Amino acid sequence: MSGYAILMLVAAIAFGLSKLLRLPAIPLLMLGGVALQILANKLQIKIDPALVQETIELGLAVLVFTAGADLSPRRVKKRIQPVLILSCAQFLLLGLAGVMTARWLGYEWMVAFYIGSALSASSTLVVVRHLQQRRQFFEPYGRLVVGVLLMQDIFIILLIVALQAIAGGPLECSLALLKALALGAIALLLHRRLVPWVCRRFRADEETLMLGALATLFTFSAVAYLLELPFLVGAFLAGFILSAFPMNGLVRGMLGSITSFFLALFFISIGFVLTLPTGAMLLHGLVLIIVLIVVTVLLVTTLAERLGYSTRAALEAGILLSQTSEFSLLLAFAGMSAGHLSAQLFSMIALITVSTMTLTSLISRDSIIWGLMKLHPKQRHSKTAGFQNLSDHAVLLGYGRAGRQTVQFLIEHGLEVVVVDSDAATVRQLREKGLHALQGDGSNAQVLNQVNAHQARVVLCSMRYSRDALVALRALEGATAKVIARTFEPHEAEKVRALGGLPVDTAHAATGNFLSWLESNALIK
Amino acid sequence: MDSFSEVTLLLDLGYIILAATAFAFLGKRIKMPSLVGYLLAGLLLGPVLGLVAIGHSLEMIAELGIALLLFLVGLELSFDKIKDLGKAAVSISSFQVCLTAIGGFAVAQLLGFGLLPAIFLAATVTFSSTVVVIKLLDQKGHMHRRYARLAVGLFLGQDIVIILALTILSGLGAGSDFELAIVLKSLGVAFGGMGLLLSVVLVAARYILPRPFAWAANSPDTVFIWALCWCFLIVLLAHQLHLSLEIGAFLAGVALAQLPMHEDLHRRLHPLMTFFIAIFLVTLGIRMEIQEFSTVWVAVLVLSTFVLLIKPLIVFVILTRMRFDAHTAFHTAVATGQVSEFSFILLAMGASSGLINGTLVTLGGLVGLITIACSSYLIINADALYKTYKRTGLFRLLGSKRDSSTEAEETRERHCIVVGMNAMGRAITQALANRGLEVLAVDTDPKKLTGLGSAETFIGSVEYESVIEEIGLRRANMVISALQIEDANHLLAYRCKSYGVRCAIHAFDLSMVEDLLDLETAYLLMPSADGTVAQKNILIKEGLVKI
Repeated sequence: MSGYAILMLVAAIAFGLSKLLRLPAIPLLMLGGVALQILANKLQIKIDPALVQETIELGLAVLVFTAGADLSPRRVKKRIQPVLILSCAQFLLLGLAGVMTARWLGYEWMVAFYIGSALSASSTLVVVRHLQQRRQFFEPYGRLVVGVLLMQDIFIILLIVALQAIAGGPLECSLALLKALALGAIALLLHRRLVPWVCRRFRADEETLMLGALATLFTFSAVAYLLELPFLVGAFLAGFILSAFPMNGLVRGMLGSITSFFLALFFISIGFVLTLPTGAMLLHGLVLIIVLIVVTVLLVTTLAERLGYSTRAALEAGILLSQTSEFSLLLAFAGMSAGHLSAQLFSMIALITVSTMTLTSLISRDSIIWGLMKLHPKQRHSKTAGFQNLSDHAVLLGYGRAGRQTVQFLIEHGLEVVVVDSDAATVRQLREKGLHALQGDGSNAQVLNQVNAHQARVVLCSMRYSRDALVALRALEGATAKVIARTFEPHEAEKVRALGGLPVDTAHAATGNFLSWLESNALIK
Repeated sequence: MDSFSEVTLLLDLGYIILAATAFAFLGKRIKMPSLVGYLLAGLLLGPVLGLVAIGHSLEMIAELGIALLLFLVGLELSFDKIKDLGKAAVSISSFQVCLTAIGGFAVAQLLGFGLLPAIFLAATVTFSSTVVVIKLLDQKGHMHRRYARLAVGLFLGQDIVIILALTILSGLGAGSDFELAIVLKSLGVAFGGMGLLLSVVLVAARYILPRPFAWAANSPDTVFIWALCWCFLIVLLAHQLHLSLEIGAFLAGVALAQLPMHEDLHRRLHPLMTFFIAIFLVTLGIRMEIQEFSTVWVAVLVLSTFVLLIKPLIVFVILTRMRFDAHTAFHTAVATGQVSEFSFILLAMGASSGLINGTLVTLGGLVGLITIACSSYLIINADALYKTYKRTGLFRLLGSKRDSSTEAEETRERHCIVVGMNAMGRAITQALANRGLEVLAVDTDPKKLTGLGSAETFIGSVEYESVIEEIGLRRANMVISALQIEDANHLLAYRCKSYGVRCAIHAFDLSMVEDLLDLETAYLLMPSADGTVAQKNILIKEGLVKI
């Protein structure tokens, strides 16, 4: 029990720091494992190696099972094409860049292939958490990113299968891939047919659901093992079987705590077994991190923009995908198990993962995105001509989801409208439709002057953050224009009112409409 | 870490989970408690097929299960509840241990066992299994009942006696002679340790834990990991103080039970406990030795009958004499009708120190298997048994007070459930409560549940089936979700559709609309669209556009 207590203490510190510093927990857990290793050596604290080995074994199974359970095709519904294009292009091109860099750094082809493959996968755990925290999980770019992550997981699993069988030659390698695909086909069949039938037919309690889910995990792992495939393939496919709605929701609550527990121990244990890479490897790690971030951001941004996403969304997608994954660790671990990678190389890949996961949360901040948007070629070459000659017009700050309707309404009522949006692609599309549009930050006083907002009849603020509306309101103090700002929280509405603006309290509006519906259906008096 | 093929623990766990699942599913067909299914799975894997041997890792996982089970029991006990039943539990456990031990000793002597074996058998039949009983009561959803708390108090009292017994036995086993000084010192350490542990827990509950947990309240993962860490550290401290893992875990839970998020924490930890405890119960079956059944079957049957009938009767009489009502006394008594897993340890220690022979270990194991299996049925069906008992008119014969139980289940009905206390959730909650409706507001963050007027509040996540039951979703008039979590909203809509409950769900993205309509959502909350309409109204009202 003392071993578990020590590991949980490290996990508790890592989670506390994660909350305090607003960093993802995974790198902190791994660093916690490294610190524990150093302390244990210095203070002669004995941590049972069998415990560490077993938490890694169980953690691996849980990790891929959870990833499989998140693989619901519903998540990428109606976005299959952009997801496929982006995921394949990123995986291949970034992988190629990684392989070539590794070769340039002097590694053999096989090692370079592992490094390249490890670089090309991004972390589902980090990105999903980030999207959830920023409530962007269901924005179009959020769905695109999630779809890409799911595809990457599949690619990595197939790579592990191929690499495990590579020693037996191309025929054995192909046979292993075929077996994996056949098992995948069975899993797909069960996902489509059996799981929905079970959900309709049986009402299982929590205990039975949990046992059923775990039994699926072990059965498929055993089948994979019997087919001479890595058991992780079975674990992944077992997760996929359960990802069918509503089973995924029903088991999530049951498996959530088991997953959190084992994954925390897994990442600490991984940190604990790392061996110090050489100085040269650390330098190589730095070069690979730079290649990873630069190539991912440029590649994903360019491709996503071409696929019709806004500049900001494309940039955010690029930045969010610029880290290596827990599946990179899995691949490196498999490489080490197969004797293709040394312990130091595994450590180097682990350190790249720790560093890039930490960097993601730092470089995905708004200020960095804004900075990068200013460097965007379209931004630099966009027309900066203003609309100073306009007066008694309407200014819409932030096009957003409701922009189309608002602009249409204003035009229908005889107002000339200027849209200010930070997104180059949005502005371009509006201009193509013959509308007045300016790319820029709607809370910036200079931009407000460019659209002559002071002389406008009305300024409508629907930017992403309410704080931007407050800045715009302050900049427009004393102006003749009425300022209307969208808010969600009551305290935001109060602030808008205090600055002389007219708040559109969306939560209040939705509540009012809902109550009217209840009354009209005689559900309340 | 050398090879993927070296996955011994995973292989063992695979066998355990598959066998447990098979027996649990089959057991459901014949209404067999899952616990019995787990024991049978263990018997199949161990004594029958010899597929799984208990190693250090499985033992550790089983211990984690016990620790988590007791931790969860502690998590449900506020200081007030402990004060309510604490003293009674101590008195009951003292009487019960003495009377059952005397009875057990007498039965063993009648069966022809010598002095020392009779003492060991008396100890074996005296103690009940905390793990088994709590697992069953938890399965029945009765852990909050008065009789369940009383039973837990009784079992923890037994634990203290067990600690004393094991301490004395260690003294006996330490050398060839009984060294009184060593035993007394060990007893002093045990009592001192108990005092120290209690002090640590009380101080922590009052002054140390509330602030950090309040700070982390909006991060469920952090709270979850901190709670587990706290549990393991206190268990470790208990171990250092020569106290049982159960007592440490229980007290760790009690300390966290004083925090506002203790119920949500309980629900989050519950699946983890279920997983570990299932493994523990299967390993219990694996350990059973059934080879010598033919030589000891008479003693096994007699002692099992004693445990299943006489022991509960002793407890029942004690409780009725202490003026507990018939319902509480009956249910508590039924809960004691099995032997504890500690008894196996006690017998194993006795055998290894040469005080008794190995046959007694087999005998104890078989009594354990039979009584645990039978009492599982009795506990699960205790309500039906109680009705039969009431009809027989045995109340008067045993001098029990008439059933005055006021433990009627609080059930909400025709209420409105609002999930997610963001601005919209709060506005809807307040609006409905102001119109006199019975409203239950649900969120995982306790801070968001304050200032909601007459609405009731509930801390928890609707992703858990237990929360769905506790908030009475199937009896609700309407469910409203203001959450901005697509999966949770879909699942909630699905559950509402299954139960035929009307629901209104926050469709914060147009892509959700189709799926939610497929799930027969009655109303889609769309603040973005509603905001656009409100904005148009403001433009008109302020004369900014001409109509």
